[in-house]
Amino acid sequence: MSAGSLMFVVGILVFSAQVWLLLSGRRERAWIALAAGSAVGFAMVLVQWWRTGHLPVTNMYYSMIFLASSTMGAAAWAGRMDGGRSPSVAALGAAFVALSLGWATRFFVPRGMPFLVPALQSPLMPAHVAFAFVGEACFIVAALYGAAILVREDWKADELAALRRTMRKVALFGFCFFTCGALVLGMLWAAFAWGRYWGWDPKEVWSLITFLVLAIYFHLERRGDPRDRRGEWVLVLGGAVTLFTLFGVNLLLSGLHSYGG
Amino acid sequence: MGTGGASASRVPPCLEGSCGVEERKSGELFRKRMSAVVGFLSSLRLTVIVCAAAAFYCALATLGPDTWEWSTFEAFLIGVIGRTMLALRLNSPYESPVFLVICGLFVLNLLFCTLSALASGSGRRRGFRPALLLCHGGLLLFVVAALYGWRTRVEGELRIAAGEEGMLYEPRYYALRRRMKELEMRRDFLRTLSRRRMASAGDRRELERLERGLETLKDALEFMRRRPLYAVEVVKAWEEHYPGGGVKDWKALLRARRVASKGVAEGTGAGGAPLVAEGEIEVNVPFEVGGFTLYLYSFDYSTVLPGRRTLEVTLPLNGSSVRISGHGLDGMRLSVARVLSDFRVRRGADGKMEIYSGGGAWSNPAVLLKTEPPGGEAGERWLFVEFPDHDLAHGDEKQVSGPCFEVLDLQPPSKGSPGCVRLGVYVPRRVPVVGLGVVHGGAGALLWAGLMLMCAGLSWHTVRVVKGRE
Repeated sequence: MSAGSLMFVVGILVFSAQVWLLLSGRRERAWIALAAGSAVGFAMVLVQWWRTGHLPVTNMYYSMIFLASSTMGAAAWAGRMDGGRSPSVAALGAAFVALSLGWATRFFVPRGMPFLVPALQSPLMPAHVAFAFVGEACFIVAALYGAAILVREDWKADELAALRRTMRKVALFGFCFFTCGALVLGMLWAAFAWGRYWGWDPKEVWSLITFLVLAIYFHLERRGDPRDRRGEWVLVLGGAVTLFTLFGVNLLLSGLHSYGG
Repeated sequence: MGTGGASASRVPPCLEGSCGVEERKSGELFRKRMSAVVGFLSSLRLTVIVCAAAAFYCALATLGPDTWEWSTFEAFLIGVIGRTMLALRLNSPYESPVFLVICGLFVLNLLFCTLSALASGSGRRRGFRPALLLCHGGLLLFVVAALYGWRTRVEGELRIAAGEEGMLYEPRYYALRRRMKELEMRRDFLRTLSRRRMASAGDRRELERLERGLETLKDALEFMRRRPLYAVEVVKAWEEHYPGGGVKDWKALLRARRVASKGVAEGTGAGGAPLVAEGEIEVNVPFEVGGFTLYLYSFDYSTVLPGRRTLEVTLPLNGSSVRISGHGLDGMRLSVARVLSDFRVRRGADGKMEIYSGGGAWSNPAVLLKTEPPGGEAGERWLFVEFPDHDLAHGDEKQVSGPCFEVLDLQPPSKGSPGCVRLGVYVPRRVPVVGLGVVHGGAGALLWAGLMLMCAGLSWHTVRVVKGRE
């Protein structure tokens, strides 16, 4: 069984588990299913790393598996922080994202080359890509939390405050990883490889846009108005921008990061 | 002091008093206005606006090409739109004043926000934590260093075949070349306006000025080209492969020599001067020489003519063929198909070009060389004694795959001798060619220091938030 097929099966199982837990009123255990799915995904990544000698994030195929695992991991962490009170939209959404990525990997994405092309032969590569994916997975989960807050009007004040705390923690954790990994380590690597730390490549620009959108969220969130939902809207936008940075840029725009496609 | 007293005594006391009140009022008004300006510049509202504007602008910019070619303007954007776009430099969106204004506001906001946080006792009153201060300070340092680097840094590129060398010029050369490209684009725009009768008198004056300026710039560049700083030789270039056959790495061995003032590489003659630098370059591993940093960004193969002739061959002028052996030309037959003592060209009655001899004197001798590769198609080419390297120059332009010829000597036919032509044969070879990015200047250390501070501040803040301390 290929890694893509296995990820697809994991996605189906985790999503089914989320639906079953939701229907049976055991929402507080949702994070356990997500954590298990994430563990299986990361185990696949580790096996492939051991087989090829490099972190398998250099093509779309394994990148999607890594992202699916990270998304489930981030959602599990958020659910754990919530003490199992995480909104169904977030838990179901994270499982759905993992299922979609597994489905796309299984049926549409070619497996790619098993070896590293010269441009990717750098010790900075694993940290740069892995940090970026972890950050982006956190943004997706934070956006799901934002969506969960937006779809309901009648939140109790303490519930809403707790959700926002979790959402902020996940978003900030992702922001830290994304800034240090995708932007700063990326700049460092670009300085070694291309002689310039920034080249206005579409992937770089969209990473900057993601950074800016998340920065807007953190600044809006500092106003501390509990009725203000602009922060959540911005996070949802951040999630969309993140997905475009991950896939849209590779599929629609050409640039120096095209080997990632 | 005395003068001041005399002057004060001339002002009536009542007026003096009212002036003081006015001054105090205007001072307060000024302070209020300044406070409002500073408040706005350091406000979260401005941060949000600037970040949103930057994100929106960048998103739009990625939809267009990095640098708009002139043909785009000529085809679609001529007139007011093209004029506005060029005036705002939107053809190069990240160097446009529009984007620079957004960046400027971002820097101002960051600066005022950080300073006001510092001024309010590490900002605790406003909920501004030291970790965030570190993060903002680092970002500010990074932006300042990046702006400084943007002003001082130059970039260029070299493409060098294995065994050949390329030159590095003084940094100003690269900056001027870039400037020239921009001015040429502006000139082309104005020329098109002029051609379409859309140019104003001001445009025509600007065009004249530009033409003159470009000539001066070209002269300056030519002057610098004659005085390179370093000669970089690609001694060899090679690929490394995985056991399965995929390319693992591209590498090249480089040697850099300092060039003497007249453009001759020191140390290329007998008992040459020591090298400035020698070492391997590969993707992700740059090569440093005299403040320049070279980066390997491309590797491919090209068919080039060697610098020295591969062999010599003498052909009789009576049409007899000579067979060449060795050097990858085994079995190729060469012969002289036609000899002209004074090569001339004219248009015939049917409109076709006709080649003929102008007279019996050997004033512009030429031979028509016939080449017959084994199993291949025969070809013919004219070789000229007066222009011996004509075929080589032609071959270099066309990246030929077959041999090229140089006329070394020609013996005209005489009694008892058919005459002969001695040719130098240049067999092209397929060699690796490396593309090298050239960079000089920038503000590296300061820039990385800023980024490190920013990462440290952000990580510190994140740990505190995740642990629930904030």
